[in-house]
Amino acid sequence: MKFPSLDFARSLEIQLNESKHFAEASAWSDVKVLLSFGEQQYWMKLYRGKVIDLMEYHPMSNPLGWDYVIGGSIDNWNDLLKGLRPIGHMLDTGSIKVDGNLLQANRMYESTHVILNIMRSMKVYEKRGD
Amino acid sequence: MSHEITGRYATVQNTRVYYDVCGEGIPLVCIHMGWACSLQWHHFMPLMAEAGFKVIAPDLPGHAKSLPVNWTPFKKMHDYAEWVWNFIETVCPGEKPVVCGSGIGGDMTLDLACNHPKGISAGMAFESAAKTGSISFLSNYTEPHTFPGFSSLVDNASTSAMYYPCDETKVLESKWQHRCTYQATCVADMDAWNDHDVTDKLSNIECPVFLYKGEADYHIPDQDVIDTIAAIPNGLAEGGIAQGMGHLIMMEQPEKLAEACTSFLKRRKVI
Repeated sequence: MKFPSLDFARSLEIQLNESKHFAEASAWSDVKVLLSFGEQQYWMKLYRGKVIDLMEYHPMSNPLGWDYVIGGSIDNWNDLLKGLRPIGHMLDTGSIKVDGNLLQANRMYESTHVILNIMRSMKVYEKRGD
Repeated sequence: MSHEITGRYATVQNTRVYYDVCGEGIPLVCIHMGWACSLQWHHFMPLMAEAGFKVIAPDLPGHAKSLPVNWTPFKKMHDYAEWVWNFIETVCPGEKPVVCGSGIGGDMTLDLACNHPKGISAGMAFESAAKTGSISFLSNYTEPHTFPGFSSLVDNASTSAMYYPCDETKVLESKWQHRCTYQATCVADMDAWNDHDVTDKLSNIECPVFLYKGEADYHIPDQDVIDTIAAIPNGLAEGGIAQGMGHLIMMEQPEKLAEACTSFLKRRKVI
């Protein structure tokens, strides 16, 4: 599996929907989340503890829009996915940024941590000859 | 009057629990309200210590400095009451304490009087009755993401049923007394409050019981308190509606409450 890719996003969707912790942390979610990996973006609909829809996102082409974005440069995502830096540190310093409707994003704070932890546990990152 | 309050720890149901102690004498175990902690009794404790009691006030499991048993808040009032019983066995071994409590603590007091009728020498239940239940919409709000303004709800729900006008510093102190407990525990407290019903067990009671509620406390109807007093057999129960007081009876008028309690205990020859 390649990172970033639609396959990666779909695999993440499956793992989130198998996670009890994710179900609890997003039990009363009704939000559209944009995962932004450098130039590549993926749109997820979270509803009642599940990811109920996922697709590639292209600016100005998705009429539903999004509530908040979890995004960063590929280098920073690689640091996160390789486990080189703590997730909390990357969020606190803006290396991985959460932006948009922050009332919703902060409400779903624990859910975002679960998403990032599960992404890290997938042990998939961009290969750059390393 | 100078009675120092000191903090201690014990292990109850394999879990660390914190409690405050004040004075020497007959054990008086004070059980706090839902969402609150032992701080709630700090004005009341020295007054009862002065009256000859060793006043003991635990933080219930999952509140303030006491850990939750099995890391899970209690949702059933009888589970809470049995924990209080185990706490009494641990902290007052071989003794027969007076137990008082308010709100869910009052419910636990009545539950103990019904289920351990020979284990306590008197029960004093404030803001409580044989059956309780009020804030019933909270069960789905255990997780913090479900209710971002929960701390504001706690601030307001804990103080809105006080008797007003009230000293503003008492209102502020009461809010801080309710700021040490995690949201999931607060929700579980309300589940337990709604679960409490000892109506069919009141005939088990063998000790004197004092039921007392503030007139401004809308969380419990006056009639429920009056009906509970009437339903406890053999004239063992007394009490009624406290004028000029509300939900936080031990904070609002600690001197009047202490006087009412000691009068009751003297009348019933407990002291």
